[in-house]
Amino acid sequence: MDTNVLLSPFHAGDSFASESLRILRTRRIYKVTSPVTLVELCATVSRLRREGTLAFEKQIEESLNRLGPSEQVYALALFFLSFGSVKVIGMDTVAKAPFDDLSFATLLEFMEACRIAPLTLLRSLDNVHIAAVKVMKRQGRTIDYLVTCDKGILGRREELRRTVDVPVLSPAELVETVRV
Amino acid sequence: MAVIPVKLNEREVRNLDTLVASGIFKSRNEAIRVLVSEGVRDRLQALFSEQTEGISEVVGFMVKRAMREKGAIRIISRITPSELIAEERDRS
Repeated sequence: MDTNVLLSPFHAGDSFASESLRILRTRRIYKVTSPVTLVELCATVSRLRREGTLAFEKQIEESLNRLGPSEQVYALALFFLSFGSVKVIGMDTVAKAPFDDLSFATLLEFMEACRIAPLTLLRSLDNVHIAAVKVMKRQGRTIDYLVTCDKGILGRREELRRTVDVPVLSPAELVETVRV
Repeated sequence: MAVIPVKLNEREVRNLDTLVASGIFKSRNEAIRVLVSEGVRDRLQALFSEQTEGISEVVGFMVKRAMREKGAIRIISRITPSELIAEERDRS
């Protein structure tokens, strides 16, 4: 699940809001994402809070106010994951970057993101997301679909399919495919 | 690797030697390195847990409310979540 799918149902003007809601509410699909999503959620929630564009009913506001400012952001990020029962698959395999004198240890996903960059021509965080899918597959996990609301990513679905060997679908297409 | 001088009392050294003699570690050096590493990791995790205490309860409450009440949490930004995340990825 791309980060935008998790947020989509909460924005009235999002073109995939109703399909994303159906996907997040169903228990028929096992939904996963990478830790990058948690980082993106925290950053996005922080920006929305600063701009005053995240609105809550009074009870939720009161509940959040019991926490400090950083904890509020973390709680909201966890809320968006929990609402859709989306599991975060940890990145814990360390790879040694083979650059002789410049050798250093890093997460396997970062090395993979470097490797696929010339194939996808996407931005850094997009590549880390895609790399996370590749690593999950290599570790024996079955990833059937990559779901995103991002029209830029959907527009490059064929290149991405060739890179990760996973179909890239919009929430509407997933709803139609798996009939949730 | 950095070399850090550490003073240990006799009892601590004896305990370390017991771990080495029983084959858990190959040497005092390895025992200290592994145990320090585990201790630091546990303390950092505990520190993070302390900082996030009380969050689960709030998250659970928010999920319950959002499931029951459409509109309990709303994003009212001018741009959509897809555009917000594209901005995060420097692609706006």
